[in-house]
Amino acid sequence: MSCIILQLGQCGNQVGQCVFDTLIEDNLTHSNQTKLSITNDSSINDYIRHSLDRFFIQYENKLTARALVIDTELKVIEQLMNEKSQSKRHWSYEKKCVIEGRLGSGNNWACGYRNGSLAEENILNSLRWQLEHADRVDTILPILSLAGGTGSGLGAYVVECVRDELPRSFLLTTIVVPYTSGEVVVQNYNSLLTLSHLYHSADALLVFENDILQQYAKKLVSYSGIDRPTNIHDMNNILTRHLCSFLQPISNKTISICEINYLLESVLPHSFYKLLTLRCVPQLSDQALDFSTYNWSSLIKTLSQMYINNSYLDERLNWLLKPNQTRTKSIANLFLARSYDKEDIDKDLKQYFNHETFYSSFISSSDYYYLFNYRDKSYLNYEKYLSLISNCQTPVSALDRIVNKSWQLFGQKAYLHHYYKYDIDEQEFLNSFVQIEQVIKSYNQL
Amino acid sequence: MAQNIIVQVGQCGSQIGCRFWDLALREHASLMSSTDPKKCIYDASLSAFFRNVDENKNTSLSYPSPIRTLKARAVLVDMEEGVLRSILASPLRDLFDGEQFIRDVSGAGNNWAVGNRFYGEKYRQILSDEIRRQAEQCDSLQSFMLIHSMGGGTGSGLGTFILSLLDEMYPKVCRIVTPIYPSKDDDVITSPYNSVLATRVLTEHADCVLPVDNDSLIDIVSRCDSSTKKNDNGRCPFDSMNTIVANLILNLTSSSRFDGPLNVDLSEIPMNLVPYPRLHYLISSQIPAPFKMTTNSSIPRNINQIFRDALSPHFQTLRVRPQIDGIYIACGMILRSKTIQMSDIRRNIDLLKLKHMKFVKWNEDGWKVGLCIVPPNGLPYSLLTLANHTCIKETFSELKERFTILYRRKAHVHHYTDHMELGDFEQARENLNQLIEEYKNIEQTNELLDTTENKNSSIATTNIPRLNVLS
Repeated sequence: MSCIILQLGQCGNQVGQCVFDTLIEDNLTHSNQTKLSITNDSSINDYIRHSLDRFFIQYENKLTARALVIDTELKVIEQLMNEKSQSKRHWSYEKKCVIEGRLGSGNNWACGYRNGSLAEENILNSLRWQLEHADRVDTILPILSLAGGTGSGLGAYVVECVRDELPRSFLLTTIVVPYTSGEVVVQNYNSLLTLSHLYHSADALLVFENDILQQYAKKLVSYSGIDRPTNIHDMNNILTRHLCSFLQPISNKTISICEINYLLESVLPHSFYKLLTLRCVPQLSDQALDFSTYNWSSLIKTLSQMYINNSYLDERLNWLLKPNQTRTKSIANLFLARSYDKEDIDKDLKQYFNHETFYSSFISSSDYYYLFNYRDKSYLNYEKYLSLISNCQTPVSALDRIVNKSWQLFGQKAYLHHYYKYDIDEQEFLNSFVQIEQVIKSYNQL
Repeated sequence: MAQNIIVQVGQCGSQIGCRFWDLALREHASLMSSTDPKKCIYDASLSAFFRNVDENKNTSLSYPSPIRTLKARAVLVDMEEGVLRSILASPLRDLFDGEQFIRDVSGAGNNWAVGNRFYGEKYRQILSDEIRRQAEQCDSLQSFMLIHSMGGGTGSGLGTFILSLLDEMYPKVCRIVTPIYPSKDDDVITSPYNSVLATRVLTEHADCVLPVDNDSLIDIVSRCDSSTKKNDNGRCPFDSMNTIVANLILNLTSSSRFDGPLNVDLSEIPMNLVPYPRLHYLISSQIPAPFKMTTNSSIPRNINQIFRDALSPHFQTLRVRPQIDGIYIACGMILRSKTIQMSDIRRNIDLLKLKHMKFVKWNEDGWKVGLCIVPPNGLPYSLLTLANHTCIKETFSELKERFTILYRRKAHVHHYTDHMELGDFEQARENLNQLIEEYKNIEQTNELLDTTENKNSSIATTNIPRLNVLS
C-alpha cells in the first residue's frame, strides 16, 4: 500500500527531500550498516519492507521515490536533481515526475493558481505514471508552505486536481504556517486563500508553524553546545522527524501493519474538523540522545503537560497547571509509540490522558484516544519515541492571526489589484474569510 | 531563470544604459572562475541580461554553454545621432545588433509632445517589431526595465510612449522604470512640462517606478568624494551619477540572478511593496554609494551601521525626508553579502522598526527582505533599500509648483499644441493632484486609525469589525 508525496514549491521540495532521507535513515538504524539489507529479524524485516514499499519504487536494487517534484522556479529543483546530491543518496527522483516552471509565481497566490491550471496536464500525467508503478495508492501527501506563491497557489490547485482525479484517496496535506513577523508582505492573503481551498479539498491538514520550529531549532542548537544561528535546515530536520514518526509502519492490537488513512481515521471523526497537530517526545539534540534514558511514564507525563500548556516544546512548561486547567481541547488524540521494548503504557496513558476536560463534550470517553505501537524497532536513534497527533484547538490561534491581518489589509483594499490581474476577485476573498471564520468558530466552541 | 529586457531611451537613458552594460559585464567577469575566455560558461545569471550567440550559425545558445558572443537584451532608442554613434564607436558595440538601435536625426527639441505623439506614431511599428523580436528570444521574460530622463523630449516623450506600448503588448510582464527627474536649476526651461506629462503616463502604465533626482545624485557624489564637486562651469559629475543609477538596476536584479538564502524575484517587488496600483513610486537608497569602481574607504565596518545608514537621507536618490514627515507604506531591503546572516538582518530590522520607522497601521509587517550571497564587484556588501513612503508627495508638490509657474502664463505651450491638446496639460496636472491626494489620504486614514486605537485601547486595531459567524 503506497503513498505518493507531492512536493510543492520551495518549502515542499526541501522538506520532501529531507523526508525521503530520514525514511532511509530510519530503516538503517537497527544496525550500523550503511547499506540496506534484509536481516534475520523478521519483524524488522517487515518494517523495512513495508516502509520501502510505501514510499519507494523498487526495481533492480534501485530505489525511486514515490514523489512528484513540482516548482515554478528552477533553483530548488536544480539543487535536488544535480549530480552531487544524487550521488550522496541511496535513492533518486524519477525525471518524469519533475514538473518545473521557469518564471516563478512572484509571491502571488493567484499567479500560482493560474500556473497550476497551465501545468495541470503535466502534473496529472506524472501522477498517473506514479499510480501505474504502485499496486495500490490510498494516501497522497502534499507538502507546501502557505506564505509564497507557488506552494500555496499552485499547491491549492494541485490538491483540487488530485481530489477530482482520485476522489476516494486520502489527502493529508502538510502545511507550514509562516513566521508571524513576516517573510512576505502578502503572506496572510496567500495563507487565507490556501487554507480555504485546502479545507474544501483535503481530508486533513497537518499544521506546522515556522515560529515554533524556529524556537525548537534554537533549543536544540543551544543544547548541542555549538554557538551558531539556526538555519532552515535545522527547522526542516525537526519537521521531517515529526512527520516520519507517523509515516513509518505501525501496528495496533488487531492489525499487524496499519495504513496511514486507517491511522488517521480515528482522529478525524467529523468532516468539519480537519486540523491536526503533532507533538513528539523526547525532544533532544542528537548529541544528547546518547546520554539520556527515559521511561515511558516520564515521557507521557511530559507530553500531557505539553498538551495542557498548549505547547509543542517541553521547555518553559507551567507544571502547576492541572488537567482541568487545560488550555486546549481536542476531539481525539492518537498516540504512536515506538521503541525496542514491550512495556505496557496503557496505564500511564489512562492516568494522564483520560481526563474529560481534555476533550470536547460531544466525544464519548471510549473515543478519547487511540494507541498504536511499533515495539520491535526503535525510531531513528531514539530509544523510545512517542508521538501525539491531536485534532485540537492549538492551531486555531495561528488561523486567527492570519485572518486578523488579512482582514486589516482587505479593509484597506491593499494589494488586491495583484490578485485581480489573475481573476481572483473580492468575492473569492470573502468566501475564504467566511470559510475560515467558520472553522475558527467551530474549533473555539469545542 | 528569468530574463529582462532593458529599454534605454534618449540621451540620458542611453548613457546610463551604457554604463549599466559596462558594469554588468564587469560583474559577471569577476565571477567567472577562469580568465580564459574559452572556458567561461554562459549560465543562468548571465542569461538574465545577455544572449549567447553563435555568430557563424546565427543561433542563440541556451545555458549552460560556453560563451561565444554575448549580445545584450536591449532596445536602444534615440532621436538624435550623437550618443548612439558614440556607442557604436565604443568597445560595447559588439553587444548590440544593428536592429536594436532605433534612431532618427533631428531630435525632439526638449518637447514631450514631439517625442510622444510625433515620434511615437512614426516609429510605433518599428518599435513594436523590435520589442517583439527581443521578447521572442527570451525563454521566460520577466520584466522590462526602462531608463530615461523626464526633463527632455525624447527620453520623456518617446520613453513614456514605449511604456504604454509595452503595457499594450505585454500586459502581464512587469514594467520597472528608472526615470531621472530634472534638478531645480535644470537648463531646459520646459522640463516641468515634460516631467508632469510623463508622470501621468508613468502612473497609469508602470508597475513600479524608482525615481531618481539629479540633485540627489550630485549630493551623494559630492558628499562621498570631496574632490568631485560641481565645477565652476556647471559640469556635473555625470559619470559618477550614471554609475549610481546603473548600480541601482544591477542591485535590484541581483537577487533574482544569483543564489541566496532568501531570493527576491523582480515580480515579487511590486507584489509586496505596491498595495495600490497607482502608488508605485519607490524611494531607493544604496549603501555604500556605488559610484566608484574601486573600494571606498568610507565603508562602515559594522553591520548595524549599515542598517542605520540605510534610513539616512544622504544616500537616497530622491530629495525627500522620510524620517520627518509621512509614513511608510511598505519597505524592502535587498542585501548582497557573503557573510551577513538572516538573523542579523531580522534583528536590525526589528530595531529599526521600533525606533525609526513609522508604518501604516494596517501594514505593520510590510517588509520584504532579500539576501543574495554574491556581493557587488569590488565591494564586500551592498544594501539596497526600496521604500514606498508617503513623503514622495513632496516631490510631486514641488514639481506641480514648477509646472504651475510656467503654465499660468501658458509659456511655451504653443510648441506642444502642434501635437496635442491643451486638455492634456490639464489632465496631467490633475493626475499629479490626485496622486498627492492619495498619498495624503493614506496618512490621514492612518491617523484616524491611530486615534481610535488610542481612545479605545482594548478594541482591535482595525476599525472594521471582523465577520461574525452566527451559529
